[in-house]
Amino acid sequence: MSTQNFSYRPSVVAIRKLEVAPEAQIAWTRLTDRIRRQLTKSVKTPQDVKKLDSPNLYSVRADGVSVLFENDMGTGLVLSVVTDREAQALQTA
Amino acid sequence: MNTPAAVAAPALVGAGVFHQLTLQGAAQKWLVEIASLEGLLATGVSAGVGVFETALLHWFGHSLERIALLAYATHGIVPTHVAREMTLGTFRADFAWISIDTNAAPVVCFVELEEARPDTLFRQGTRIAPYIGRKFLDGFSQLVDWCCFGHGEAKNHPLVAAVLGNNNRTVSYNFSLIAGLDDFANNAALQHRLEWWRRNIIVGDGTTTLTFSAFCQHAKRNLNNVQHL
Repeated sequence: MSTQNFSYRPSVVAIRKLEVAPEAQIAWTRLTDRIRRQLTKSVKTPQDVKKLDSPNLYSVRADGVSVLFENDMGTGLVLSVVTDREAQALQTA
Repeated sequence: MNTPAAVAAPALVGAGVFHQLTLQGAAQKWLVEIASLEGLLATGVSAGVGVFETALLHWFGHSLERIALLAYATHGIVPTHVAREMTLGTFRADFAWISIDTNAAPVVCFVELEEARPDTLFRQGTRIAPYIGRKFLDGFSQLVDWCCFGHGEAKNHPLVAAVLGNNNRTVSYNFSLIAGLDDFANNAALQHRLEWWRRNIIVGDGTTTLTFSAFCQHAKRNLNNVQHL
């Protein structure tokens, strides 16, 4: 992997930290803003966020990173942040 | 005779080096491994004496995949490199892992395991209210040392640097402690303290403390969550 690529690829560390921090249950709008900031400009509109079949669950995918999050009456919680590499490793061979 | 649950000394992953691993089908394999770990812990709980640290070190040190599970359960990260018995300056971490990912900032983590015995987290002393357990304090002290004095050592660690290579991303350095079992918090006072412990034992940025019970729960929760994506 080239070092040049690292210069613009998004950091998901801050999002991952939301998973375990008590302050993760921040306002839904703040959470989505944060996800959009972390995942750069690929997530521009609410339509980029996908509603999943399970109640209150949403996902967004951008720049090789998928984020699963929950919206509980306006309160957001990041449940999972998975890169494409990780998704491949987790899949059944 | 009640003796702590133990496992026969297995072949262990080579110590003191980072091993690169490319996982495939990790979710299914880890479900099996978590069941195995829960079995070991349950044996200790049913015997009333828990599991010794050595047995836990042997269990995790048995394979690269089990060390990788340390990363996935505590941070939801699938690591690319894992190590057993990694020296960190003047300290020695039981395990270490690194994640190098084209789509995420690099993460480096050193892990300390303590035993999972009835008095690991809390012990009865001369007062009615329980004291914090000595083994937990040992592990906590290690975590404090790493945070206060080992952070620079981690940054300058030659083996870590060799894995990270020349990249200009900000590296996240983390330290984890896993100790004790929720099962032994079997009265209101202990449960109250365990709950406080969960919410408040945070040494500093990048530290994680978990019981082995919470470790298994987090691992299963993370595996369940990822199925939605």
